[in-house]
Amino acid sequence: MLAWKSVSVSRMGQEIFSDISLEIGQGKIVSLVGPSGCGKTTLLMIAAGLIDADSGSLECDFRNPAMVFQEPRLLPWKRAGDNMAFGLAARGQRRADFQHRIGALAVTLGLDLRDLDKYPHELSGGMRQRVALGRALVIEPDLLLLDEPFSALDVGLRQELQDLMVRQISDRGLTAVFITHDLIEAARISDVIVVMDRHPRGIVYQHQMSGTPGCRAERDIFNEVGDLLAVPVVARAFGAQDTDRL
Amino acid sequence: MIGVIKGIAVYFWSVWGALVGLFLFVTLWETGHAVYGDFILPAPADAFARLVGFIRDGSAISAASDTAIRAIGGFAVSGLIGSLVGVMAGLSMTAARAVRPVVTVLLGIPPIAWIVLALLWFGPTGMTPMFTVIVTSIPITFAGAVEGTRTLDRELEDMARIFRASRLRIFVDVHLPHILSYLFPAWITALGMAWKVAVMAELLATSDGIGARMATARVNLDTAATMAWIVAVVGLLLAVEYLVLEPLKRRTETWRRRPAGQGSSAQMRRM
Ligand SMILES: Nc1ncnc2c1ncn2[C@@H]1O[C@H](COP(=O)(O)OP(=O)(O)OP(=O)(O)O)[C@@H](O)[C@H]1O
Ligand SMILES: [Mg+2]
Repeated sequence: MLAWKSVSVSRMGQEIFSDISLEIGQGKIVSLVGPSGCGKTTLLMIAAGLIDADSGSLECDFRNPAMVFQEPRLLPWKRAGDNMAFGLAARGQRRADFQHRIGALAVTLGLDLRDLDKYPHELSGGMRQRVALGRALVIEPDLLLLDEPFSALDVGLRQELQDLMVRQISDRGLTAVFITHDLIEAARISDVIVVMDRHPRGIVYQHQMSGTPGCRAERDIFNEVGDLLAVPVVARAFGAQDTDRL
Repeated sequence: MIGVIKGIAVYFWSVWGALVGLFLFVTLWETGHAVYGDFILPAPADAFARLVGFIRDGSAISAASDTAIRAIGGFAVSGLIGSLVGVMAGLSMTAARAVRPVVTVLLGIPPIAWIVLALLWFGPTGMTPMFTVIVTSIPITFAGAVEGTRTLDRELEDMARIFRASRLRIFVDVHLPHILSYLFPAWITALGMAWKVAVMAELLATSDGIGARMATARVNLDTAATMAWIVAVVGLLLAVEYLVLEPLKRRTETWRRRPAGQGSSAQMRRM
């Protein structure tokens, strides 16, 4: 279980949110949606232990979290294969032991084995995101934190990587928190959708999706998003300036 | 296959370009000689002949090794101190505030003033050029280290922390490569300056080394010998930079993005 309990945070003297509580159950995929600047990334950073809350507490049963950032954040001076192995190397594992695993995962992620010998600047944007995803998956995490990992990609590639990710998450029985701007994307791949807003600040709505992530029919997805947008607080969060994102 | 042929062609083209440049330089020198005569500008052939003579009688080797020890020794000390202090200053605002004025003062003092001071402190010994080299190149390596440390990527560090990297690993894998990419150019600049300053200090302060030999040549109004020693200094500088620093840099920076619209970086550097 992962739970934020009455968490308040301010950065540079400005309050970002106060008294937020959210609980994420074992094996669930949860989407965080909401307008830009409402604090989604901040919430995830607290879970990852990169930001300390001013008050409140974080409860985390997971031993082995991994994160994929909005940008790939690869080390430019390391080859793709070594970047993918960063988490393993940091845990003191030896190259000979994980070499095979890296190769197998790279193939699953649709990377060519030759790409593993390239430096990040020699890869395409989509390939870099795959490497970043591989770096998170290869440590066999029990919790996956994803901050808009595919927002920089074109629609086709995005959907392909989403499907790939959902499959990996369900195959491995992971728990995942997934930030997105896109309600349709959230409805497609998650169990629970959590809507955040800026005015009022914080979590304004939680929605339990029916069916199984990754196996929903397009029509059901659109219907459910339509129902969700009929809820006044959700409609306000996705107000006029955000309709283009839907 | 086509790539390989193209690579070879580009390589020969770049070597040829360098040769043309060198040839042009020697031609200018020769023209100057024809216009101004032996005393002002001796013929390139004469200067090279004198250099060969110095190499034969052993004086070139001993003078060059004296100068090299001072230049490279001083460079090594300044590289070490400047880089270490620079990294510390880059990491801590307080240290930066304390050290910066010192470095500004060091930068403001002309090398010639240091030579005078060093002469008073160390007399006509090898310590005078070495000390001058150290104090004049410390600000350069310091500035490189501060710049490299201040531009460290917090986001990459966060990434490393999430994957439970130890502090040592974060330093070695995340911070050091970035700092080195700033330090290498600074080191190359400092080394180039180290030779010039060493020769200048020797000219005024010591009785051995290339600078001292140039002073003797000047007293004897021997322009050919002076030119021969200049060729020797430039040759040494190029040798150290291209045989030691460049290969080292190339090995540690294979990850760098290549300049757009040009051949591979290795070919560019061979020019
Ligand atoms: N490093 C920082 N220092 C100070 N304030 C910050 C910092 N990062 C973010 N903030 C502030 O925190 C608030 C929430 O930012 P956050 O990045 O969590 O938003 P977000 O919901 O992830 O937005 P987006 O969808 O655009 O990524 C913003 O108002 C922003 O100005
Ligand atoms: Mg964000």
